Amino acid sequence: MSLTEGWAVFVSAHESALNDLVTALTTARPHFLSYGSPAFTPVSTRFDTAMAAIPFPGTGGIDWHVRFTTPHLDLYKQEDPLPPELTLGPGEFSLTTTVQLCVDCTSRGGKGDPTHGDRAQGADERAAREAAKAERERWDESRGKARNPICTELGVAAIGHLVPTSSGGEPAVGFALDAIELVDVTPDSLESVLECLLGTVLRAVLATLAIPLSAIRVGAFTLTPAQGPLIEADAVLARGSL
Amino acid sequence: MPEIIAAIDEGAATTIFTTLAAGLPPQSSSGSSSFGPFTAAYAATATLSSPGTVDLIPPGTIRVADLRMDWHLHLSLSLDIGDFLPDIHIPQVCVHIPCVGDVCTPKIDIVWPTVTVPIDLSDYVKTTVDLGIAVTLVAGTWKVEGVVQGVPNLQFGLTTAAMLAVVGAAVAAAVAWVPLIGPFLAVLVAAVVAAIGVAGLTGLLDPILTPFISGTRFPVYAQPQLFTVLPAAGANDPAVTITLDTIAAEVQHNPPEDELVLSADISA
Repeated sequence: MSLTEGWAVFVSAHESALNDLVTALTTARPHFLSYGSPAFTPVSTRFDTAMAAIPFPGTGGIDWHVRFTTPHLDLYKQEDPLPPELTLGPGEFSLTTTVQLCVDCTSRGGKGDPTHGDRAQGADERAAREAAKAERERWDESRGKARNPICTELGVAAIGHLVPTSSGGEPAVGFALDAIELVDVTPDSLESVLECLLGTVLRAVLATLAIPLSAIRVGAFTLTPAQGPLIEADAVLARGSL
Repeated sequence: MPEIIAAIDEGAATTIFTTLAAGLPPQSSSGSSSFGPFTAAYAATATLSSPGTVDLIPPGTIRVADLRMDWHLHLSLSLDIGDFLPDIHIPQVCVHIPCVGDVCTPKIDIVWPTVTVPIDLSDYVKTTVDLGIAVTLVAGTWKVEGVVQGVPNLQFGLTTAAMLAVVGAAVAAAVAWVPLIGPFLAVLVAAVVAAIGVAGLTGLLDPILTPFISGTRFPVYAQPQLFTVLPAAGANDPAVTITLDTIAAEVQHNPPEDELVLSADISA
């Protein structure tokens, strides 16, 4: 069977190439995956996107930070393991990443904080304090002013489909999220809340990760897409005219 | 299996090669060459234009049919008229006339000069060429080029007779100033054109015009090995690049199509 199938031009990129392109994008511009309020990210840089703190009465704003690792994509057919709640169907991709969620817990260390003072601490609490200290030092190395950053990391799996979009005025391949699943979060209601929250964030993040079609064809020929982007046999493909 | 594949069908290939041919810069050459019995200095320019159709032939041939080349040739022909017309020597004749004395006719010596005949010929040739596919990585740039293989057979557009008529007219114009040439002009032109003939004309044009097509490289693909995915867009958005590790190109028969397929492996 022909590649062009009646169209003038055909392009395809195997999932390994798509992952290379996403990695190149997020390595050059890591701020696509990293967002924080002023205590963590005073100004936008190549590495971080500055956003507002969450306003809440009496707090002066809750400072936060979200960072995703570079997502790994698996195009149908499935090769990467997925949580049982997710099934990768034809035309879909799966995505795995890790999200780090941080808040600046300014109330910690006060009188209401059980870790406050010189009371004897158990080994777990000491370990927690050491971890918090290490986290604080890490943020101190950046330009953020977070006083008591508390962070957690969660494994994220998701499935979605590709959508035609544009990047810099030219055709591009975009990523639309259909379902998300967090790993090892209990109780279920908390998992649902976090999945909703992170699903919303991840959709917004993926919207910035459009891959120009010119990159998928590495500059060969030209393509005005009429068919695709489609996922077939572990690859994204498109067809159209010159 | 390559990570990235880009393919076009024969219709797209025809469109692309039409654009490529039109985009090639004019070529030129100069020198001297045999022109029938003469030696002529020449300056030639040629421009390729649209191919009629492209036929993709697996595994590595791109046949471009009816490739047209418009050409212009300026010739400087050194023509010794004496080679065609005999010199004329009429001796002085004197007659004695009584009461007048000797009356003499002037002595006439006509030695035909050598004249320079400028000839401008313009026409087009059509040919069918087979291109091989050459993939190179030179100075950090990947190139895929269609390179004309062998020596094409040129098919001239204008009739040879018409071109010989142009030559004849040029000769007539160039010698018009020569004294007493008038009665001999037609003879001279006919003699020169006959001396050059069809063989002389094609013998001149072929070796001048063929090199303009032989070895011509059609740039199908050219990209830096460090390929820019996204250009820089501000201090926080530097250029995004990938490395093109390998590039390959071939003609594949993927029923029912013959397709020109370019493949690549990349790394972040």
